[in-house]
Amino acid sequence: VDRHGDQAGRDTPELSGLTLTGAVVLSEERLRLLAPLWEATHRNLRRMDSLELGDTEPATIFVWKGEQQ
Amino acid sequence: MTDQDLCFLSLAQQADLIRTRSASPVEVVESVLQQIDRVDPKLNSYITVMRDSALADARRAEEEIGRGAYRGSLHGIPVALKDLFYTEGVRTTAGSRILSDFVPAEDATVVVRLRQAGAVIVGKTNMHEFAYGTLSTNPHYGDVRNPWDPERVVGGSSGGSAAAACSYMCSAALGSDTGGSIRIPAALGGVVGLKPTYGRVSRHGAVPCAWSLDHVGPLTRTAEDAAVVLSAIAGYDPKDPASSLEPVPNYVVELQGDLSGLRLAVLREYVTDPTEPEVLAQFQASAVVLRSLGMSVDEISVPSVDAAVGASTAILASEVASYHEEWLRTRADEYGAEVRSRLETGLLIAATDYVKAQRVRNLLTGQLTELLKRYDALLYPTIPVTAPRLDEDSIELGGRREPKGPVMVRHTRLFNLVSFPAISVPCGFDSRGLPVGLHIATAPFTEGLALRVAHAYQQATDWHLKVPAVARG
Repeated sequence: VDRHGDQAGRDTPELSGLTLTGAVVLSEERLRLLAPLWEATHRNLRRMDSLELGDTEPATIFVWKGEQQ
Repeated sequence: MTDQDLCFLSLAQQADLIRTRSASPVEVVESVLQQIDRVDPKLNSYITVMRDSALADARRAEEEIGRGAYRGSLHGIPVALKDLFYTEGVRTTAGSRILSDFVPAEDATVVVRLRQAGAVIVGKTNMHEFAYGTLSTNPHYGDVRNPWDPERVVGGSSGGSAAAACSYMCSAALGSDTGGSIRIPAALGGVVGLKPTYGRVSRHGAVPCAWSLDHVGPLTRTAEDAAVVLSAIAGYDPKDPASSLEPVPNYVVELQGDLSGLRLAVLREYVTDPTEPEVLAQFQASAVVLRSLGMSVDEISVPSVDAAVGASTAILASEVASYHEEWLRTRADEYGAEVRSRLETGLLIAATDYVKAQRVRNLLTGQLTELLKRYDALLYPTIPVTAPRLDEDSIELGGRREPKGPVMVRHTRLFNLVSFPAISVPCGFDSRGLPVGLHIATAPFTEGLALRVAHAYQQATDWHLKVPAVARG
């Protein structure tokens, strides 16, 4: 199961050696178990795609303090 | 009135009795502790009851007030804390097994401020594990049960705080809100829950969920009581890097401001989303009440709020996974199965989606800032359903079955994303006797306005005076 919720890719030579999960390595068993949850998460994330963001920059975490200083 | 009845008064009423020495802090605290003994075995809202220290603090308050050193409306008042706020010398579990033996060496800033105001901390409330969930089902400390029907969830993650406030097992409680965790249990539990503006209340000494979305606020039976608590805990804290320098008004005084001419707007996307008909009917009836108080209520559309779900998911899941990364590597088996899976899912989110989410956040913040120049407040039902059953994984909504957790948070997370204040106030019951919440959101640092509208609504209605049978039993 790859990042995008389908079965493609993980066995291809191009992906061998890549760690998809950053500092925490998830086993194949865990990834299989997470698949339904990931698919739901992925659907949520893609709801951002229809929004026209134009030149909008990312928000910063400390937004209000930044305005006051 | 017997001592046993004292717990059934509002915080403001208890404060009046204490101030005039018609009741003592010891009597009020004992009344609440007796209520906990009677009721909490049925609801499981506390992880730790601080009986001995609460009585000692109540006796100290009584002595202070006796010699004329009255500190204000919280002096001698029993308050509960969600079990993620640090309490010096008292374990703070965050509802987890991982922190089951964690005993902080200091109080959280909000706890320091409550104590300075004379509040008596009566205990630490149960919650969803690490505040990462909307149900307050908990594999380590047991599920929190809804006072209006103990076979149903009370919502979360601050579920114990809501159940305790609703059932008179405290006079006020603190919760935290990362995607709705104060307002969701407030709505399902029939109490008031206020999420202030980001930076308004210090997060120092609260176990984090997601740094940029975490907010701290009160759960109470009335908006007036929430104003009392917010006045005590709000304000700049150098220990919180996101803390605001904005001056803190007296929120109790602000309750009395003029309402006529206020412009309210119903957010159409959150009432045309699938919503239980009885919830919608109660919400619409609440709009009629607000109009009768002299406010106008329009309907507006903000189609881009649909993207808030994705943006909130990306930011929340990434930040919470980042906080838990080390424990996921070394102690993963100690998490409950549901929270572990959700944490691990957060590890899979692309950095590009996190950045896109922050761009969406900026866009939505700008759009809502403009909108709230034209309107004073935005309204909608806090949650599209009433409390689901504990033993059901999914609920029927709009002709399809959906997992109950995501339904809870669907309409609340927008205001964590944009950081504006928002309050849930009880606005009725469905035919099963389950509460419905009215959600009121206002511009940054206008908590006083949200509280004023909620207070006026409560003055015109009596939903907040209804007592769940379990609390009387």
